[in-house]
Amino acid sequence: MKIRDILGNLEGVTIYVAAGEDVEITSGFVGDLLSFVMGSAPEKALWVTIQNHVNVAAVALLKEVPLVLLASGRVPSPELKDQCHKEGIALASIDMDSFEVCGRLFALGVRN
Amino acid sequence: MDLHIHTVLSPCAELDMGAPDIISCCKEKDIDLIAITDHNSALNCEALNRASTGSGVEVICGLEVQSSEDIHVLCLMPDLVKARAFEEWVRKLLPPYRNIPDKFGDQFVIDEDNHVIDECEILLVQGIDATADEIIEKTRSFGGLSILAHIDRPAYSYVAVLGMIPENLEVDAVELSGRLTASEALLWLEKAGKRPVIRSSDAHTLKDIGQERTTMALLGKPSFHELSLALKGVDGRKVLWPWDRNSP
Repeated sequence: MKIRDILGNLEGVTIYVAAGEDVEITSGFVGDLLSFVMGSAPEKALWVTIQNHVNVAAVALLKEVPLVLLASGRVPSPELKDQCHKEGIALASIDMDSFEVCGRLFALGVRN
Repeated sequence: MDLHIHTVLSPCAELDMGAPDIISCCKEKDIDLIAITDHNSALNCEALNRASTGSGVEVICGLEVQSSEDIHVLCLMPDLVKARAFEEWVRKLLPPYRNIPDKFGDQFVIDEDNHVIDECEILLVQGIDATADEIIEKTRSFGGLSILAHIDRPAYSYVAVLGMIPENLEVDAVELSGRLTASEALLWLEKAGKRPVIRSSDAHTLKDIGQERTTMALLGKPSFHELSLALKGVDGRKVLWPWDRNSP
């Protein structure tokens, strides 16, 4: 499923950095401890997190994450926004909590 | 020196962490510079300061602040007045949940003779409403020194939570826990960047305190000011690699 379609199919989304809207995403990952995400996330997966520190961009780059979804309506730090913009990583916030976002994404066909 | 010691104020600390007890234990173990770093509070720093008078053990007033991301930062202050003012800032950002002594432990405020003069009612082991980066910046604005606590631990560590230490993060040192062997400690050097690395006891009971969990530093005398120069490597003062004397 394309990033554009994923974001279009979820309610309560605020897009902070629009990038790679035609990129196909097939898998997802959820986690807030960045060292754990670095060690465990599959590459090219969509990432759901409540962590809004600038280091999220570095981990996303490392794991080739095309889209970071900040759950529970978390607002990205300005540094994170800038860095995602620079690296071409899509960044959006969503009102739902991580549990609900993951459920919705799974139903949309984003699976590991 | 040992820059990470808890007292009976921290609910997780044992009741043997009284003021004269900590001082005499450090004296016995030849540790002459210590920092008192209870969770989110400096309320027992005065007792430790007083208990240390004439002992040859110098006490730095500090706090181990827990950030909103559950990262522990040691915030060492130049003096008691600054520590109190900084603590005031921390207290305002602490969530209002009350301590349940039976479950979490007592939070005793003591004097230099271990008399209990108060009990802290708000639970101290909580993340305050400020990020680690904000805490580091605030510490600097108070003229204090900030140290990332136990970055090698799986919990409450900057590296565990945020993956890496940004190059431009203005933190004065990073701490590795005393339980690492020399070879394990070396693996963490790269993560520290060019920052000084210290080793501390994170003592919650007297038997945690000991030379094998300290750091040697070359200082003119044991003091906050000299420590701040050593962390910057000024005029021959410096922090020595803690594991040189104790191979695994």
